[in-house]
Amino acid sequence: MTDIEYNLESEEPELALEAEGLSVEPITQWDLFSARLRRHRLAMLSALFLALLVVLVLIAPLLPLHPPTERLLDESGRSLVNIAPRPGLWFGTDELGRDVLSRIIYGGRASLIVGLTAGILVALFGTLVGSLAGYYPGSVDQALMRFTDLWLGLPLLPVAIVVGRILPEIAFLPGWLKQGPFGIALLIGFLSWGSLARIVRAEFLSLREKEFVEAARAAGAPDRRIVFRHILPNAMSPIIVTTTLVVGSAIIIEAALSFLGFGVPPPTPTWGGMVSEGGRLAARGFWWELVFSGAALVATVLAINFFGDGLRDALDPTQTIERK
Amino acid sequence: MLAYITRRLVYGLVTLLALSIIVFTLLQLSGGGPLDRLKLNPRMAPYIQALTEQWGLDQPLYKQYWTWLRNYVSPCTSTDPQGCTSSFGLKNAIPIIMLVLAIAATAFVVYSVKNHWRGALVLLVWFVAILFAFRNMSIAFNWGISFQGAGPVWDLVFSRVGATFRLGFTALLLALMVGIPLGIYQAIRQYSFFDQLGTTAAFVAFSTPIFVIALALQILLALKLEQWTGVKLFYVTGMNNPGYGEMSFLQQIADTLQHLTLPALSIALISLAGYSRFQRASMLDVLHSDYLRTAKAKGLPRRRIIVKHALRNALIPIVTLVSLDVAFIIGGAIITESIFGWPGIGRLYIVAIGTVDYPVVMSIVMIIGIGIVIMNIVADILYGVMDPRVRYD
Amino acid sequence: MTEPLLKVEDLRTYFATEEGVVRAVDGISFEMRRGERRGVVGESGSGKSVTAMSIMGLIEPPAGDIVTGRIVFDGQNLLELSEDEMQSIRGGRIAMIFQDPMTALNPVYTIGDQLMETIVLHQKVSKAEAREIAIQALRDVQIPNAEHRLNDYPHQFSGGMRQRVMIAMGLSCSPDLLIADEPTTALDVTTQAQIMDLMLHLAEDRGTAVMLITHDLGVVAGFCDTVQVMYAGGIVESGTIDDIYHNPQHPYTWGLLGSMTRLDDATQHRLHSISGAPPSLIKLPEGCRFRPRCQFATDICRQVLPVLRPVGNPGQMAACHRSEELDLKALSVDGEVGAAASEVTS
Repeated sequence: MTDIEYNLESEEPELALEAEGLSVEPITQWDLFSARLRRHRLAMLSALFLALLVVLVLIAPLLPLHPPTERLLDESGRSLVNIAPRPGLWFGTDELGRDVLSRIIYGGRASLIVGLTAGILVALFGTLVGSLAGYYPGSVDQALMRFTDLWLGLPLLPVAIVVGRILPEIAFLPGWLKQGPFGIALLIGFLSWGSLARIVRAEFLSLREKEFVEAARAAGAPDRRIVFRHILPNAMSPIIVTTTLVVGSAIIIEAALSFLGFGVPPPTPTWGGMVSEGGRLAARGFWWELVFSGAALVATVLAINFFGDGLRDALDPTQTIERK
Repeated sequence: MLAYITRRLVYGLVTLLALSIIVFTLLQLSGGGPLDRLKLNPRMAPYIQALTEQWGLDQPLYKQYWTWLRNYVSPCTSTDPQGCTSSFGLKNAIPIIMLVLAIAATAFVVYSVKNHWRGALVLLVWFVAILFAFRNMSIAFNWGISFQGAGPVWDLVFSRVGATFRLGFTALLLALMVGIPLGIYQAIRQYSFFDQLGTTAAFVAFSTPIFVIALALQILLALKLEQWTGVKLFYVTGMNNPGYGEMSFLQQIADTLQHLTLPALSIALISLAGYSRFQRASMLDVLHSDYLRTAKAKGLPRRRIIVKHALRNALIPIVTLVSLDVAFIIGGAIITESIFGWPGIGRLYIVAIGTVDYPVVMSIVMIIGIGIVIMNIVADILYGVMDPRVRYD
Repeated sequence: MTEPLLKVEDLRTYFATEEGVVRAVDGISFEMRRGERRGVVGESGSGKSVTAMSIMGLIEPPAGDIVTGRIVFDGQNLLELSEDEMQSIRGGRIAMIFQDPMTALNPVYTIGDQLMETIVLHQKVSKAEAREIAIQALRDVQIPNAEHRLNDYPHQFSGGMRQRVMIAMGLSCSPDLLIADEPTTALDVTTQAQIMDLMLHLAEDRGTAVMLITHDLGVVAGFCDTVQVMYAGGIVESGTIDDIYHNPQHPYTWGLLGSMTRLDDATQHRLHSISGAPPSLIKLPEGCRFRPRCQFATDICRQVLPVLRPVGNPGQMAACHRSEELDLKALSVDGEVGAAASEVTS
């Protein structure tokens, strides 16, 4: 009963409605609007949190922190192992006497590098494959989509685990790919572009039939101009939103790999690795490493997802707050 | 429909081939390849000669792959520590041929039976029969022996599949049985406090890695609960306590639940959030549909409108989500099994990867791949059962 | 004179929105005799469909609410009935057919299932009997091979065929009143006339009164006995077909008539259109609601909301201050009432 006849029949419904200030949306729209506003406020808060995190991670060496791999000792030279949070050591120390706060901030580096690099990779590759498939229907589309389907059919985590395990041993790879977060980022990026490619293809397929594209084509615009001026800008919002969500899931996958011991190798601190270690310690009563590293992980991914959701609303005002 | 299933099977096979080639190649990149790794393990010294010959470990990559693939699909009847020695022979293939015939017969029955539900039932019965055949006819495949000296891979994997199936299936069932009613209730009470709460909770669940959930449940509901209250409600590790065989039936059920609940819940929570969100959106679509207005205008009672007219339509899109979710649940099982010491293929996989135990890793990857392909096909068929508009061609 | 079948008194149905209260139906009163065929005509947003929904009891709080009024159907005020009692009237004694047959049927159940559901619910018959009734209902709407088509799903029918099914469903319980909300708008022109003919013949056979909601004056002319013209939530004029077409008393009706295309008209008239757009239903203008678009408006129209009153021919009513002084008939685009199919403004 929500959409009664009003906006269905008149030739220019929006125009007519706007001109008269006529609105027939029922009360639930108010709830929707306020929910959206609240969600946006949450998205803004999330953005702030993420910005703060990025800054913190970037300026980490300038902060008055113990180095993340330093094993702390007290005045008498005994090592400070499994110290509960206290002034000066706000997040406590782990089983090797390392400062958990410092490790969490440095661990954020790995997570953010993996998330952002994988996100950029997915955005580029997914958009490239999706737009080629969507703009050139027929054999190009068929071949690319078969490839994408095949790729999507691979079980993500089992394959990622194999690559994560093998990565440091691959002889011909340069050192920064073998050891650091970039290798993991590449791995995750190359395993997750499939769904974006599908979305972009669908957008292209519908946009290329639109009147304004037809008009541009009729006016003799070259393919490149049509794609970059007319289609791509209109397909931007799903690309941005999907990419944002990929960043979140990449961080989770990296953490899972590190948790299982197949991610960024120690002693480089990672949140996943800390949760793994913290889990063992928490069973013995030393709860802090697990709680703080787990919280950092959940808060970051939650912020990314809220931000992505806010973007979705902001970029597409016609959409309701429903997630698909 | 027969043609459709055949085509889906062919796609599935191509995916599986690609998967095996990718993982096989990746594994070869590790530490100089299988032969070098084998030589590192003193326990394997007596087998090196035989294994090298049988698996062509000194051959180029593509030949090794071909040997592996041929052996992988070769049935054998005995699994001695050396692995099957017989290659693909007609005599050994008879049970397999019977099974293939059985599957073909099933497909034909499903195809010819007009009633989709009856067809699905037949399919289910055959599925169980096939599982039984594997169990009782002791059919095995030549999957080789563990490079870590843990025995024939077939035995190793097959004795653990059941545990993973139990865990994954329970998790899926839990996610469906809680997530779907939750989403429906949220849709009916849209924008209520409960709905908002559910939405927020789902967001948090989406953003929480499965291992954080598993650890939190394990530490809070098993360890701390016992510490604080003295009640041992759940166990932190394993599938059953020792002495399970001697327990009474009720004790066995209790013991099983005490072990199963937490790991299954860990896997289910995120899926559950997904189902509730998806179900809510799909139910809202249906609630605003014209045919629901028609149902109201016919004078049907509200309950009947929701149950008969809305629910049936709102459940259709969920089927697709289930097929996507299978891969996620398997991934979740890999992580959760390691945390809860669950004796399934997930934990075996992690152990085997750690030592790069080639035959074991390959076998489990393929099992996972096969599971996903089968579930996708089942979901497609189910979709057709639920939505009369779908035509297979 | 016998009791009217349906008597609507001062019905007001409002919708609360974030911008304010939308007065979708704002104080309308009318009566329908048994077997009457009444056309309800107006632009989008004039309150036609909301009127129908109010009668059916399909206005659902909190989105919308019937603020005041009485809807007396066969001696009972529907607004005072419980939900259970209302359910037995809906589909049984008052049936409704909707605009879009493509989406109005549940895609996952067979036609037979959906037809029999109504029959079993309202007629207290066995499944086998219901099946016979359903087959007969499909035959009545001229669906060939009815006993087999019963087992088909909606997607196996064309749009026109689905609307026939909807009609069969609506009439299967021989209701006293059938409300048809733009039943042919979504269909192509050639099917439209067939469907209308079929529906009205079947209704006549059963003695069912029909309320035909449309923005198509041509359809009304061809199929109805009486007409009520609605504008901005109120009735501006009502009367018989002849009254309305040959002796319109309200400038809006007059404008609508002028905007009809006429297939039988040899002379090339310029198509007349009513300038402007309907007012906001949240901030209705003072005085007459049609005033901002009315070329005859005077001071009194600016100040006083005209009420529906007898004017013109006996039984004819209009809500215009100046009905008597204006001779709209003389100004009207003269000629016969055509069966032209056309849309009114906007």
